[in-house]
Formats: sequence, structure tokens, C-alpha cells
Amino acid sequence: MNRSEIRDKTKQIIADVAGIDIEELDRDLKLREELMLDSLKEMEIVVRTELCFEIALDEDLLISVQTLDEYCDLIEKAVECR
Amino acid sequence: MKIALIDPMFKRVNSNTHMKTLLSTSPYLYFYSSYWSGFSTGLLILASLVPKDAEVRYIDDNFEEIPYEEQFDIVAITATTQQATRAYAIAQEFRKKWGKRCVLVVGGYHVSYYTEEARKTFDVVFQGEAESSWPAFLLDYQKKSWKPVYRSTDYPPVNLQEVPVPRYDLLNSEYYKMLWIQTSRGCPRSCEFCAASEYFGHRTRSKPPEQTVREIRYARKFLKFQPILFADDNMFHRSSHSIELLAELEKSQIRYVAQTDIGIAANPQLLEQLRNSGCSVLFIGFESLDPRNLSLMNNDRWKLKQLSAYGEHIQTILETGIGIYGAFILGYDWDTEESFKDVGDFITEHYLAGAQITFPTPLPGTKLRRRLLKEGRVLNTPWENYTFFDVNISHPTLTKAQLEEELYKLYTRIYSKEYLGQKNRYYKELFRRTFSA
Repeated sequence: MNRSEIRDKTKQIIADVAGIDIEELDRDLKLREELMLDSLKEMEIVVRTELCFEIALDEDLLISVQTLDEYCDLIEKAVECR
Repeated sequence: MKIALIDPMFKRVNSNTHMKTLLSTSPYLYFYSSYWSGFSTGLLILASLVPKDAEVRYIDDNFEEIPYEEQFDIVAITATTQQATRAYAIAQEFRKKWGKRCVLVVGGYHVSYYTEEARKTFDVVFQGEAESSWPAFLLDYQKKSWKPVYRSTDYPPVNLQEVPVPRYDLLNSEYYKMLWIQTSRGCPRSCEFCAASEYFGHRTRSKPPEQTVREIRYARKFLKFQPILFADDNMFHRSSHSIELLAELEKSQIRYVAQTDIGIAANPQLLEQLRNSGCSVLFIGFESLDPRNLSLMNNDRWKLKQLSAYGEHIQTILETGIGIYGAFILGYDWDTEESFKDVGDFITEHYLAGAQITFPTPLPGTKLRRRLLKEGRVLNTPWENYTFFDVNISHPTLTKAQLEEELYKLYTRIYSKEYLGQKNRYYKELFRRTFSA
């Protein structure tokens, strides 16, 4: 899976959990302040990402992340280190 | 014709300094606070009912300066009880500036019961739902002969199938954290504290599912990212309508939060459909864990009958992958300091995603107000104190200071780093199970 595929799949997971059309997701979109992802949705994103890429993620992962782009970067790295 | 539609300032807390500080400073209450932010869908519907050539503005006092210097032909204000004092102050300013050149109109829940109080400031008061009476008033206005009071009962009953799509285009999307959508009005339960069921009635009236989906699509053009919250007080108690609605929602690929009662746990098929249609959280009124309080709250004892199965029902809902926000009222007749601890234990033991804990508030028109007035227990507090986090009644054993202290302790317990960690671990495991299944 190349980097662009990882990013596209990660974006799709966030779009599905937020209930937003993927076309609306901008790379600088703030996950908490703009998408209003609460802790339940954050956990849902973490689990869906784990299952999609067969990786293990910490449940606190999203605390350190502000934007969609930052999350995609983290997942890219996690998939590369798999 | 130039019309201002004004939503007055909505204070989350008035005099309870503990809660005021906590709500404005705790990072763990960010989402909780967002649930309480919103716009007036009622005013947006009225905006859809004005003549085509009318100029209409929606002004939100929570975010904007009221433009007193601007002349409007009609200033229409909505008011819940806690907004009433502010609504009167806004109207008085317009009167001072523009005299009788501006017609002052008020509607909403509070003035439907305190009509004479509102008449002291306003030229026109709307009692009850205004979708049928507002167009009649606008015609009367054009003839320069309007009535002082427009009663919903004097006009055809409001048919939700004919209610136009609210004018979401009038909103400044940057102000709002949530997108509220209403699909029905009314609730069959008869809880003594509930103002909405007194106002909208006990017979549920619904919009057809396609109408709801149309509204969501239209609203999404203007509020692109805000999570959807259904405003209906009890959305899924009629399963035939729910099945049709959920099938339509499923096609829309949205995520949403909805309010319902714990009875939904008895319908596994509906729960499955809820999950498939995008429901992430159900907001459920548990109200109390004390059977004596539940008997008082709900005279048909429906809630009391559910009490022994609360835990089992919660587990059934969680296992479908849907979180629960619990609503509790503390400071009811039989509550003690221990009750606050019990509710805290209940929330954490059942991993509720969040909880809204409020004080009993004797809102006008409710059975609770009538009972407490009879018992001489309604305190002489101003309307702006009717926020649900402020004490407005005297309790048989607990002082105001004790009630405020216990509520503060409970909120700091359940909106804490420790409980957030516990919840996250629990939900991560739960989602793993449900998504892998």
C-alpha cells in the first residue's frame, strides 16, 4: 500500500465516523474544534484504523493530534513501521 | 417589510458559581457544553413563512450585538423561561429607540404561560406553536390591525408535514457547534418536570422521513461539519415510524445523536437499525435511581418499572456499539448527599459516555411547578435562574449550598482525566468486538 492509498483510506475512515462527505475534508481541518469528534468517535477512528491497516494504536493517540493531516502522518508512520 | 428574529442570550448557569467556573474552564466539559449550544429552529421556521418580498434577519444575542440602531418593522423574539428577562430588556431597548414604529412580538414556551407578564412589554404575544398563527399575524400586520394575543388553539393545528424547511441559510455557521434537526413533536410519557411534553402534547406528530432527509441535506449546505443532534424529546417510541425513518437515514450516510427512552433496549432489531443508520450516541433520561423519586416524577410509573432493568438495558445498547448519554435529575424530594455518589457510581460502572445532571426546575406549565407551589417550595428566584444548574426550589433536607457542592463534586468526578481514560479503554474494546463481529 503506497502513502497516498494510506492517506485516502485514513481520510475515508474519518469521513465515515464523522458522517461527512470525504470531499469536504480539508487537510488542515481541526478534528476536535471543527469536526467536533468526541472521545467515542475518537475511539471509533482508532479501532477502525487498527482494523484497516492491521496495526496497534494507543487509545490516547488522538489527544496529541490537532488536524486531519497530522493524523494521516501518524498513521503513515505506523503502517511503515509495521 | 423588515423583520428581526432574535434569540436572546441563553445562560448555562446564573448564580451557581461552582458550576459556572467548572463549565467555563474544564477541558473535559468541552463537548458537554457544546451540546447546550444551539440556534432557534422555531425562529428559522418563522423566517420561512414570511412573504417573499420581506427582508428577514436572524440575530443571535449569544454571539452578536443587538442592532438597536437599525429600524425593523417587526422585532420577533423567542424565549424560554431563563431567556425571558433578557427578551423583555431587548424589547424595551427597541421601544425606547423606535417607539411604536416597530411592532414588538414574542413567542415560545415561557410567554405561552406568562402571557400577561409578556404583554407589559410586547405588542403581540404568541401562545403555543406559532406556525399557523404567525402567517395570520403577518396578514393582520399588513392591514395594520393585529391582535394582542395569537393563540395556537384559535388556528388549525400545526401539521408537521406542512411545516417548511427552516431557513438554515440565515445562520452564521461559525457560531454553532451542533446541527439540531427536529423530526417530531410530542411525547407519550407524562413526567412531572417535563415542559416540552406539556407544550407539544402527548400525541406524537412526525414529519415524513423524506422531509427529514430533505431538511438534513439543506442544512448541510450551510452547517457542513457540525454533528447532527435530533431535537425530538423521544424519537423512537413508535417503532413503525422509526423503522421507516431509520431506513431513510441509512441511505444518507450521516452520523447522529438522538434522544429516546430506555424502552428501546427491548427492541434489538431497532437497535441494529439505529447503528446501521449512523446513530453514535443515544441520550436517555434515567432521571433518578430512587424508586420513590421515580414514582413522583412519572405518575404512570413507566420509568419506575424500568428501574430494575436499567443495567441490563444499558448493556444491550452498548453491545450494539452505540454509546449512551444519561440524563439525571438530582435534588429531588427523596435525594440525599448519598444520591449524588450513587449516580456517580452508576455512570462510571455502566461506562456512560457522558451525563447531564441537573436540578429539578419548576418550569411554568409543568406538573412539578403546580405541586411545588402547593407545597410552598418554589423559591423567589428570577427567571434567569431557571437554568437547570441553579437551585430554584427548597429541598426537604439539603441546603442550596449542599446541593451546589454535591453537583460540582459529581461533575468533576465524571468529567475527569481518570474517567475519560477508563471510558476510552472500555469503548476501544467494545468497538473492537462489535466491528470485528
